[in-house]
Amino acid sequence: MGNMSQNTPNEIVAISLALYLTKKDSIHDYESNILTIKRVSSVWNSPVYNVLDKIKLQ
Amino acid sequence: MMTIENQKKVKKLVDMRVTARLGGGQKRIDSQHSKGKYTARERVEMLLDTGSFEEMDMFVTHRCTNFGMEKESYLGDGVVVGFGTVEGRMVCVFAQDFTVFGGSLSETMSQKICKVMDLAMKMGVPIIGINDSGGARIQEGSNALAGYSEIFERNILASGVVPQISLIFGPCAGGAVYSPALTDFIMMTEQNSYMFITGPKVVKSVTGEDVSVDELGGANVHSRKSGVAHFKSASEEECLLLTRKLISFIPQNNMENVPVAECNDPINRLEDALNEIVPSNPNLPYDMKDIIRSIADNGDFLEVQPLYAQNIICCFARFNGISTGIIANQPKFLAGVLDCDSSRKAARFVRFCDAFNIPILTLVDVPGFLPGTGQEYSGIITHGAKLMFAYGEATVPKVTVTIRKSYGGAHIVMSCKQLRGDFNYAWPSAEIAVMGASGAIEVLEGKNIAAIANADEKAQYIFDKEAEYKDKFANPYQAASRGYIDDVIEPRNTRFRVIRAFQALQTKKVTNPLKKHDNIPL
Repeated sequence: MGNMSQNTPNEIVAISLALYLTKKDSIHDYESNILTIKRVSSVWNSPVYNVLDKIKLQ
Repeated sequence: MMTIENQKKVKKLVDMRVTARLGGGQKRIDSQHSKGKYTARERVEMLLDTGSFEEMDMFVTHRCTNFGMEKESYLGDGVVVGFGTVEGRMVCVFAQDFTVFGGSLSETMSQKICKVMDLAMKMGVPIIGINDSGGARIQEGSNALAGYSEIFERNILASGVVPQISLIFGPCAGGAVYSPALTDFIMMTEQNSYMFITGPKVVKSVTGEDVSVDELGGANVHSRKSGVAHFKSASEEECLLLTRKLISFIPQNNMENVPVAECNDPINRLEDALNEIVPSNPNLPYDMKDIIRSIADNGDFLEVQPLYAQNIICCFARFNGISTGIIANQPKFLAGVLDCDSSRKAARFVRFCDAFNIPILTLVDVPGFLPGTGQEYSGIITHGAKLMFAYGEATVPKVTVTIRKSYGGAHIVMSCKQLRGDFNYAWPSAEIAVMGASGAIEVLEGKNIAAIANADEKAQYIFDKEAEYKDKFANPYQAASRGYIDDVIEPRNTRFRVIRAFQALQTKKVTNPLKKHDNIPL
């Protein structure tokens, strides 16, 4: 990069912005952000069956 | 072609309907309007989908003959009951009619209310009661009291089976307050509505205290001080719209899954602002509602008891369209500390969500329980235990995100892993420990600190020890190393992670041990 005093103010701003964006981008914890779990309708945990399970246990 | 005879019969029906719809007569309707109040039927019409209301028992009249009551009778006898729909979903409704004997409760009126409550229980649909009544009809003696009791018993049996909502649009005093009090939500209008056990005159005669109706039981008092009211509205129209919104978040009964709305907000929306929302100084506040807005579908949520115990937020929101209850400490108010009021408020909300299969998201930033004689004498132990009990017994999906502080007993209470939290996440800014740094160092290093005579050296020693403590515990990794935190997540990813967690938990099945009922520390 050399001596910053040799750069114009615009160049300094551009370099600072580039450095900032590089740094900003590098500190993220990237996730897939893809939801692969489908919505299901199951009696497995249906509230009705939960009550019936309890009654059966009695 | 109808015969004349049949036409006469139909005309009689039409005339009777017209009469019934007039309630106590046009003069009293005008009086009601002059007070800025709507009539019972107008309220029901505004509440329900247009044209959906079917009225029952329109022709019921009272049977009282005491004090000349046999000379005055009105069709419907002071209450409008029936069923209709809210966004196509059925609800049962009763609305007390102030134009008939001041809405006072008679034996027949209570029978009408009980009938529609029984219908709601048979159909598994919410009950909405609109209260505007001067109290028991004195001329009916103990019949009126029995009528109240019949209603209360039904309120109790319906609790946790179908949602019950009470709207207070006028007086609600004496024993009458207990029907709303037994329901899930109470809504009051700023003008005209009040609730109290005994009115200002009795208060004056018994205690000598001078107090106005509003100061004793107005909407402001009950929404800010007592916590009796869950919602306060500027007008009846606003309150009725709020009721419709509330209904949209909750299932019809305890056997139904939560309503799912269409979600047009991207589930993978990243909120960079969340990465910067927690101030570097742990003693500085921020607004927890900004976090809720950032992660919920379309930033929309409905807060319950927004003016009461503001150090904790209880609200309904949606994640990927699924209704969810959120409980969150509010650092902006009393630093988000847990006290008697906030514990009670949150405990009741958790139990409502659990009763009606609504998943729970908990956002934690709690420095602990509020210390002091005021709290101890008010029973903070019992009230805190309520919240812990509510979380611990809840079997609905429970996701917890620790944002910043999570200290001591308050950490445990706020849906920690061991209270059967299903997914416990933490932001990198989380601090999970027995207590804050300064308190801990006072205990751990008290003797050593006292032995240092030089003030500067003492301050430096304390500073160093606090730094060491913070380095060890002012982060989520010590808890994560033991599995008490399932994952540490970047704040901007919170929306996606919460949605995925709830989606993963959609088939969660947990049952509690068999018992007649529990014994929650009331």
